[in-house]
Amino acid sequence: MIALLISILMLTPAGHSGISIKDATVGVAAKGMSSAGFFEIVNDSDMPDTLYGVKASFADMAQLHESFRKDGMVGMRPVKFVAVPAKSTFFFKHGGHHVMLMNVKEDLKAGDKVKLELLFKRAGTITVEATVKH
Amino acid sequence: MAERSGKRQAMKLQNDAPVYMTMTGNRRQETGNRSDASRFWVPLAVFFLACSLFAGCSRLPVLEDLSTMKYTFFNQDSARVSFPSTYKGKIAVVSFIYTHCPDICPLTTNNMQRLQDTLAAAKLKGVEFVTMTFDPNRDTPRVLKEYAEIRGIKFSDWDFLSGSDANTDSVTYAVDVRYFPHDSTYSKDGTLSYYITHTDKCILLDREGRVRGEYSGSQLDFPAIVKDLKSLE
Repeated sequence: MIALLISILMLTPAGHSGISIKDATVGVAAKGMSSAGFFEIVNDSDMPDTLYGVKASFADMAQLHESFRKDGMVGMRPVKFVAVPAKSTFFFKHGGHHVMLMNVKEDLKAGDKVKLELLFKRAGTITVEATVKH
Repeated sequence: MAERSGKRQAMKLQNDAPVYMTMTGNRRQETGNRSDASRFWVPLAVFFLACSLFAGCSRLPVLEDLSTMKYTFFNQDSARVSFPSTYKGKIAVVSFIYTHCPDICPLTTNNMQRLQDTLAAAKLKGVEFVTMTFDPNRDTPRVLKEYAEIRGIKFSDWDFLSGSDANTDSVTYAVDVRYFPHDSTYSKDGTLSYYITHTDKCILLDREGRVRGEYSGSQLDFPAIVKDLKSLE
């Protein structure tokens, strides 16, 4: 019964919180290397929310990051949180915000599925299944 | 060079044009001038024909001449490679990455794969792909091979190069690719991890080892690079 309830909760992208996660992907990576996670956070509610953390059991470390570009140079840096205003969509995408996944524990091959836990202030923890893509 | 010659030719014609126009009132002189004009138009036509035949082989400026360089690197199989002399006689697309980069460098590598497929579909042969790491201490040949294999990269015309710091610096300095360690952190096992802020660039080398084009690696302008590749064929 509990397992069924958990399954239903995981399959329900937008719970009472109004937060749903779409198109979650993770980049291919060989064991021991880095990867990145991308997705859309859709906030359908009338309340803002904040993504303040991420967990990934398949990597040694998972952090919220953003890439930046300046004067022809590119780099990335950690961010402590991401605010998602009410009735808005926030994109984690290449060249912008992403989940930095360091030292993945197994090969991540195209088509594989992995789970990301996204920690929201209001919505709580939302677990999403991400597809590994090139 | 041809482009420069063409400009010179065009300027010469432009300068001569007023002389021709002043003589149009005189029939005999006009006829005579047609003959004079043909002295320009025939070579000009030959020139443009040659340009079209060689498809602008000299349309692209030489941005940097690496032809005298011979720096030792090792490819993904740990085979010794002399850069860029190993690739002389071939057109090469050279990209610069580090494998711990989770976002920008994978985009560059994906773009190189797409370009490889695009060229294969267009039956453009003789183009070599080279990916050079600017993080050689972590990106050993074995690591580069794993990075490439998990992406299904075809090695038949693609080398992933790792070399000494000095040789890497020499090549990247010559082509104006900059990089420096940025934020760093320690993993649970105490391993130092660091990110690198770097130039987002790939370059096009002609058969002589001269840089003829520069592009963003992660935001590759496919039509532009394909056009430039064709012009070097």
